[in-house]
Amino acid sequence: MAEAAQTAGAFEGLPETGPGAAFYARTRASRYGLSLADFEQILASVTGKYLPAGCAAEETRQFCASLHLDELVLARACVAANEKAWEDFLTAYREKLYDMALRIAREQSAARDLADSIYAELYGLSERDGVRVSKLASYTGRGSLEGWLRTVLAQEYVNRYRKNKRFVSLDEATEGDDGEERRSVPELRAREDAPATAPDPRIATATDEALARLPSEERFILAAYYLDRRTLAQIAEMLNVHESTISRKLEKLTKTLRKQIVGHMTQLGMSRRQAEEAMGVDVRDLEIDMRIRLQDSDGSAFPKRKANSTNAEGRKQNDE
Amino acid sequence: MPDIPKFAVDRLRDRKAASAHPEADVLNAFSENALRESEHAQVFAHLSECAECRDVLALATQGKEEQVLEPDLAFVGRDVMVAASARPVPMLAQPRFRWATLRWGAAAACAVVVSAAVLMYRGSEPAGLKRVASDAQTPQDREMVADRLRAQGGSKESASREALDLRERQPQVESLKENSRIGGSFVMPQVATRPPDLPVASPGSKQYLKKSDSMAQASGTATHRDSAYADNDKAKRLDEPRLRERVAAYEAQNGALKNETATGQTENRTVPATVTADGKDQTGVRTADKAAATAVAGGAGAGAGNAPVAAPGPSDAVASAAAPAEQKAQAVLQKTAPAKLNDEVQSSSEQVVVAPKSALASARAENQAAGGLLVRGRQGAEWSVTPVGKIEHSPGAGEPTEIVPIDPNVEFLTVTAVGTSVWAGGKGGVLYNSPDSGARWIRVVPQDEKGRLSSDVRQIEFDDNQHGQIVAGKNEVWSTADGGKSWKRK
Repeated sequence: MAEAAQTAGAFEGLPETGPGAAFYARTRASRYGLSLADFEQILASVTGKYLPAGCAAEETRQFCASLHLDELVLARACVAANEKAWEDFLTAYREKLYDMALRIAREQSAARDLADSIYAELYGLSERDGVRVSKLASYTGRGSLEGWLRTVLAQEYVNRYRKNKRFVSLDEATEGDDGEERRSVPELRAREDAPATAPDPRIATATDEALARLPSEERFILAAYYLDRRTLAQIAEMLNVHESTISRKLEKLTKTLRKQIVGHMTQLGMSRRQAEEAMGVDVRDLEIDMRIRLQDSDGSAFPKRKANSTNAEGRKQNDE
Repeated sequence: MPDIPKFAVDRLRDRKAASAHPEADVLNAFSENALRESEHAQVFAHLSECAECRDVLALATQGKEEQVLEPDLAFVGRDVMVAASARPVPMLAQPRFRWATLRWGAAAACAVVVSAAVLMYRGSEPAGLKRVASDAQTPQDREMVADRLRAQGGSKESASREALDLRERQPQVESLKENSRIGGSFVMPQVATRPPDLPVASPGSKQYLKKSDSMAQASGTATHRDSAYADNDKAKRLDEPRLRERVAAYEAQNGALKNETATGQTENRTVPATVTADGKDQTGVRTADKAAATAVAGGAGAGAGNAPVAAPGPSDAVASAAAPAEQKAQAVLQKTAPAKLNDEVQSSSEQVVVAPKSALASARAENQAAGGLLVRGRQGAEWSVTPVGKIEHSPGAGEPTEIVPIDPNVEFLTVTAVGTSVWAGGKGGVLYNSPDSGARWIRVVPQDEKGRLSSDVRQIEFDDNQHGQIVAGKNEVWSTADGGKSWKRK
């Protein structure tokens, strides 16, 4: 009860018969046996999580209005093990869960596995201190319940299968965060065709600087497009915008980035011509060298590097 | 699009993720543009550095359009609306109106169609239909009209009204005859605009496709029904084998037409068979009884319009005209002018008895006949490529044909199914495989020491689900013996 009083404080400024009640009336909370007090407690927990303390009443009200209240109520009622709530939840989402899992896992048995385990988590098969713990408790209504389920599925999937390096795509593009795969290939190429000249270290610095100055949205698009090799449509979907928006942004972005890099390079002392040359250099050579240099702390020029590496290899083999 | 140099990509990759992974709740809200500015920017910052979370986001949002949030429990509401308005829109988060845009796009096309239809009648105002057409100015109206029309399919009242309209338009048919050319686009100019609309629609809009079809049909039905049976005989003869093939393909795949009348149903099954067997449509028609004839005529009405058609454009239109007509026109025809139609039907040297179940099915049939890429040599083929490079799938047996979304950026050129494994290839060396008849698709990139496959995939042949080959570009042949995991270039 004391708790309730405390949390009710989050609604200071909101009279009992005010928006709190208004929101309550709009949901089906009563159907699931949630009283107004329960409801307000739920709201309080959400606002407490996402709104800074001492937030203005109007902002709180707006925030609450932006929540998917009905779905939030359903979720919390399920957590409270309300029968009707579970009925409704299952009717609406049981099948969808499987469909979404199938879409993510792309393969029947993995999908079923995924869906079943998520379902178990939602249902709260695990107990903590004698209280059933349901994942649904972490849904706060900021997004749709269906989208939340999809995200949960996706997270679980990524955790399970990516960790086991199970690539669902036969595409050559591997996940960028693991350099293992990519490292081997450039090294082979390095031995085959050594570049004539060592790459300029200023290139790396200039690029870093240019990238750092980009807003994160743009870096995100670059990463999604060039690292993950996603299509414009996919990226647009991820951001819930139109494909053409992404296309335009990307185009502007790459032009700007190139200019920025060149600009930084000249700032660092490279001549205009050098800079532009660097932009157009045979990328494989550059890439190889970049990666090898990055992995190694001593930044000696490439030709020596090669000799060193073969020596190192030779030594290593001798040791073994 | 200008690329960024590879070294820039590398530097991008090497940036380390500094922030913590956002939890599902936040990530989901992010993808639905439900976060506040600052939160949104934070998530962006993390995403720009964390490939794992990007993966999660991509997986969670893929194919989202098909899973348009349905208010099963009346969840939608003012909550969402208020959210949309109360929040400042983050930089990139302009609401995506792909769905809405397409509706408007095709609604505009419908408007063109309808107004062209109206214009074509040169002043003779078909009361019922025009009113219907002109009333339906907005997409919602159109759909309502379409629904109403369909619902009214069986009612006598509308039937007689339709008949009246149709008969009124008889004199106009003559002028339409002038349009007919050999193998050419006899059909009204209005429908020339249709094909791009049909397949371009986004994945989730297959229902929408049907609706827009029915709108075009509402206007197009009557015209095609009476389309000059005395069309160019030569044209028809030229197309006969194709038509037979089309009918056979359709029959093999779809079986009986689902009709409102039982007799119509039975007859439809037999009549096409007769047509195919004899190759003599007239015979087939004459031996059928009245019900059949009318049912056939309903299809044939559209079909005769089909006859001279080789191009996918008109055929799409006609096919789509045939579709809802299947229900509406048949009811109409059965009740009002069976005798007349019988005559007309018999007088033509050839009918196409294609009475498709759905606009898409018929459109697909037309595609196939028109040279759309049919699965090679497979009876009852279920997979095909539309003229604009989308993959279409007809599960058959009562299920509607649907466009299968794989990758909207790809123009597909060929599709082959072997068992439950489906292979689709397109421009730029794009190759996709679905191991489960189209539920999931995996991008396959054949490559060998010389590089990747990058020329247009023109043909795919699989003996079983392990051994197959693809023909790409100018005689590049790649083959695989392990179901696509590794490829050899010949």
